[in-house]
Amino acid sequence: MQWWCSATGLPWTWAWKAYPGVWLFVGLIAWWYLRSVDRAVAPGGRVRRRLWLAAGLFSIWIALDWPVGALGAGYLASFHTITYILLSFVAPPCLILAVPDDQWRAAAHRPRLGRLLWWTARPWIALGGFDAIVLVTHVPTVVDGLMVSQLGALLIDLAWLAGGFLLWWPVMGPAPEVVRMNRPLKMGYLFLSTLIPIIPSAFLTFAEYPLYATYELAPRIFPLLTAQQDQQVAGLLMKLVGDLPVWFGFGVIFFRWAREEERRPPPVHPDALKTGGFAG
Amino acid sequence: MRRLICSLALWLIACKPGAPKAFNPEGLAGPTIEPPIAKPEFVLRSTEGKPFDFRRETEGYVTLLFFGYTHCPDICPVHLANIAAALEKSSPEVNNAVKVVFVTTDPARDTPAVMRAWLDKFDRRFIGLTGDSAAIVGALRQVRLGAPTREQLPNDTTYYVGHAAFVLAFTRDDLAHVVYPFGIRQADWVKDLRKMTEGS
Repeated sequence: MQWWCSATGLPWTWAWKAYPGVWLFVGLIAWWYLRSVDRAVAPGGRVRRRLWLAAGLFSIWIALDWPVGALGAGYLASFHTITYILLSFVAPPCLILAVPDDQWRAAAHRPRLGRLLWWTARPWIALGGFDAIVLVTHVPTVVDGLMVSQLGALLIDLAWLAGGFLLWWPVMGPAPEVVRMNRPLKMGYLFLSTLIPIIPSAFLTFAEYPLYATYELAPRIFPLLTAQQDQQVAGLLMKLVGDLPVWFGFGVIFFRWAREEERRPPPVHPDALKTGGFAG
Repeated sequence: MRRLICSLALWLIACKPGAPKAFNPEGLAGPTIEPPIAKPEFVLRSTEGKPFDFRRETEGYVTLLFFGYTHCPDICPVHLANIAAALEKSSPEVNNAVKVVFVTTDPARDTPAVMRAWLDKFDRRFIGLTGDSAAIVGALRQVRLGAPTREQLPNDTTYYVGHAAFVLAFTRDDLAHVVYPFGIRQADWVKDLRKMTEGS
C-alpha cells in the first residue's frame, strides 16, 4: 500500500491507484473546517465560504492524488510543476477565503497563533520564506533525494502548501489587525513575488541537460516527449501558468482600489466654499 | 647505437597505422571491467533483413552494444533515449565515430519491422539485430552475460524478459573496458562518448 505519491521507478500504467494518505489529508482539512470554522460562519455567507473551501480542497486533491500527483512524483517534471502551481498558488488563497475575516481576527488575538499570523504577514518575512521554499524545493539534489520516498514527497508538498500560505497571507489576511500594507504596496509585493521563481523556471527551460535524475531516468509515458522537452514544458508552466493567479490577485487589488477611488467624493475647490457652493 | 635502433623499431611498431591504441578508461562514468571484455564475433540479422557481422561492421568505431527488447517498459527505452539525446548534443566527429547496436532478447515479438519502428523513435541510425534464440544466447555468452529469462506476472496477459540492464561500450581497441548500468545520465554519456572517441 502506498499512502503518498512518490517516485517508484515502476513502469506507468493508466490503471487507477489509491493513495489513502491524500484522502486522509484532504479529509482532515475538511473535518477541521466543519468543526472549527463552519459553525461560526453567519448563515448568509456560509455557501460562499463552503465553495471556497471546496475549491481549495479540490485543488489539493487534484494536485496530490492519481493521476496528476503520481505522474508528478515520479514520471514527468511538467506534472510536478502542475502540483506546485496548485499547491502554492491556487489552494492557499481559496482556503484563506474559506475562513471569514472575523474568525481570522479572532485567531489573531490568540497569544501564540496571533504572533505567528502577525509575523508571517510581514512582507519581507513572507516573501523571503516563499522564495526560499521555491528555490530549495527545485534544487536537483533535494528533488532527487526526497521524491524517492513517500515521506520526502510529502515534505515537498507540505513545503509548497506552506509557501503558498506565506505568499498570500500578507495580501489576503485581515487588516489592520494582521496586514498593514495598503493596496499599492500589496501590488508591489505581488509583483516582487514573481521575480525569484524566474530562477528555477529559467534553469528548467534553458538547461542543456535534464536537471533531475528522477524524471530523466523515469519510464517514459509519452514516447515522443523526451525528458528534456518535458523539463522545458515544466519551466514554461512554472512561469507562464504559475504567475497567472498572482496577476489575477494583482488585478483584483487594482480594480478594487480604482473603484474605491471613483466612489470617493471629489475634493471641493476653495472658491466653491466662498460662494457657498454655487457657481456662476 | 643498438639501443637507439631498438627504440626506433619499437616506436615504429607502436605508430603502425591502424594499430589501435590501448584505451585508458580512467574517469569514465561507467564502472570499469577487469579484465576487459573482447568484442564478440557473431552474425545476426539486421532490421533490413541482411546478415550483420558485428565485429566486422563495427571495426574502427566506438560501439555501444545493448541487449534488450522493444516491449521493455522501463530500462531499454530510457537507455536508448538518453544515448540518442547524448549523440544529438555531441559533435559531428563523435557522431561519426559511434555505432549503437541493439540486439533483441525477445526475437519472438521483435520482428525486424517492429524493431525498426521502435528504434526510429530514438534515432534512425541505431542498428537493430535479431536472430534465432540460440544465436542471441551465443552472442550474450561471448560478453559474459546469461540467457534472457521470460517472466510472466500474475493477472497480466503479456510477458516480460529479464535481461542485463547495462550497455557495453567497446572502444577502438575492440575491448569493453566499461559498462553503463541503468542510471547513467545524458551529461555522463556526452562526456564519456567524447572521451572514448578521442582517447581510443
